Amino acid sequence: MSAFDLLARHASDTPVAFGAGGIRTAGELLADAARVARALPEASPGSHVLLVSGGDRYAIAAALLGALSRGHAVALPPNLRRESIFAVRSRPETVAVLHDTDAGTPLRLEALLATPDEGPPLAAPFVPRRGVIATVFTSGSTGPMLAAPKTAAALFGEAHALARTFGVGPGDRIVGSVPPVHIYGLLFTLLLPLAAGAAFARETPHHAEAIAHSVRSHGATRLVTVPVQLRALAGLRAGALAGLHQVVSSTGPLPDGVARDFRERHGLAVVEIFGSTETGGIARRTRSAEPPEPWTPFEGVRVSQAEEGRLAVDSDFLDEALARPFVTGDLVELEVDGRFRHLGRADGIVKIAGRRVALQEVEDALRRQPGVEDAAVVAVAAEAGRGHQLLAAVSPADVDPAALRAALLERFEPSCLPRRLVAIDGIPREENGKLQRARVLRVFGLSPDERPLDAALAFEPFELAREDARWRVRADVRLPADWDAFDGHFEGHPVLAGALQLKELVLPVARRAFPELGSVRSLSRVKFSGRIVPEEALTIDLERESASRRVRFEIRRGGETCSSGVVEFDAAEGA
Amino acid sequence: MQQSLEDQLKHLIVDALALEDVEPGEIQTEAPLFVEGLGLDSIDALELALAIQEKFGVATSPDDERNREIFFSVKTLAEFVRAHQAGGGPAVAAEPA
Repeated sequence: MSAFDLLARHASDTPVAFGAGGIRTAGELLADAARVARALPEASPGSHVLLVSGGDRYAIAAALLGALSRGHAVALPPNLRRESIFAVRSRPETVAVLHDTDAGTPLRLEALLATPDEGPPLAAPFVPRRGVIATVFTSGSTGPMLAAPKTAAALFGEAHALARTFGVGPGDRIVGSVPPVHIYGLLFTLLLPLAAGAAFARETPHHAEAIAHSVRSHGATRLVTVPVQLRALAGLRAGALAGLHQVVSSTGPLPDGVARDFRERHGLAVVEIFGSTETGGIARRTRSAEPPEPWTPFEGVRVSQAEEGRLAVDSDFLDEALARPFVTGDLVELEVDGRFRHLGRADGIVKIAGRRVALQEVEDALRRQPGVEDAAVVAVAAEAGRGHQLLAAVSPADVDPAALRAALLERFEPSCLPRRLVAIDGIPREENGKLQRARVLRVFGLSPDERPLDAALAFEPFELAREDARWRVRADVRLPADWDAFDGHFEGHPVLAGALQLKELVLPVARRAFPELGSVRSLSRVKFSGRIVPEEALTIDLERESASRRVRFEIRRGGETCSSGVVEFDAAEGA
Repeated sequence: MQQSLEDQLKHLIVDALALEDVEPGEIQTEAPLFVEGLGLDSIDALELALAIQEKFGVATSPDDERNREIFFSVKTLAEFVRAHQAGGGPAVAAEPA
């Protein structure tokens, strides 16, 4: 058995695949792969067969082995979007397409594998040829797709190394809730079981209940998944994933809360993988406590620190064309024991749901739309497993955000689109054109540290008193010295503008005390009589007849009134 | 006045997915929620499933094909929630977490 052979640890009647479509053995896989090979044109130097995975992992495994045995390499598109598939298909080296989707185009694997064929199966074990055997394409924001050429030493060699590291072997049954198209899914949910003598689930369940169903009904031992799905899985009842003894996550950082909830609910510490398409797996860590331990490089992977604190990686699994060591865009801090901590990205690229997105590219795409004069895209940390989300502002204010969103959808993955897109008059920039990030964030109601602005103000607990039919609310607050609401009015003389007094002080208190009120309808009798400056301690008093939608406010500094007036609200929707 | 289930779901979609530029009233009951229509993605589907379970105590189906039908639009979601709240459906009602 060489370090790169597949199916060397399976007997002919050992299952390689299970699922709703039925069990398939190693012998059947070798026969089906031979059938695929016979349907393909002859190979020429550098020829590729495009694999489009629509749902049956077994069909893709047969297609992969069949294409390789015929002498082709395989090409894996980054996703199932029509444009991505066409882009790979139109490359000169692509000589055929194998797919298990509903498209009517040839060569459809479902039909191919059902055709009677008495030819001989491939020999076991499966021995790959030298040179490039696969090209994995990646895209986040589209642009030119990144093509990562992989040799058998890289792909199959890594699958064997993973099997050793994690002790995967015969009897293991692996459910993947990620498709076998990108490097993570391909390695962990298809090649690893084929290298290790194990079996994989044919389907790729997506929702928590469907994943649990697949795990339980097939007696799975390992689950290969991603942070967003772990968050959903953490909400299942205890025992819903019984039988699993390992859960693997990659494509983005697993939030502490999700790691903890999952562990407490299901009794399993998630194993996280840090890697990239160019390098394959780099490091791992087990989420058995918070904060998480540093990343431990995989066996055979040498990490060092390059310029600017970037992570440099060298291993046998790097793409051949890459300079060694390969310098990533990730900033790290190395520990003395060889482990490392990840500090973020160095290059204006963020990861959203596992995809790399260049902010500049989204900004440029917005700027090219008709009517758009300027655009700014910022990334903020996102809830749960999404990693980051984008916020975009365009100017002028009469651009239609819905039209921009539609235009972006033609180029970008839905998950890479700005989560919020607003049109405003004038993107806030320095004189030299540099974006004023804090002021852009304020457009979205966020403070410079990305917290909601009203949460950035630490209101003391409210006093809410009812006298006769009158509600009285009192809230105390101290304004921060560096609060960005003070920006931009009088250079060197920070004051809180009247509109911001209402927005930042009065409305947050009113909303919290009277959540049943709707949007602001009108203001009356408003007087701004005292300047409000940084670091002041203020008291906000509200008064409301209990049935009324009018709220009287007063902002005071000690005994002195800074402003006062009446806000009338609409009734809340649906109330 | 009691809000219709469809309206509750529209509010839930906007709140759970933090679609701050979308008014619940703008969401068309029968329009597709994903990719076309609102342009939501498969991650949003997971988030929305969590929110629906929390609010209505109804869990998604163990069959993803069925889930795709359920999450197609506000209308299909409402039909699903209604069927399972009435206690009529197969064993996909939320198991207590």
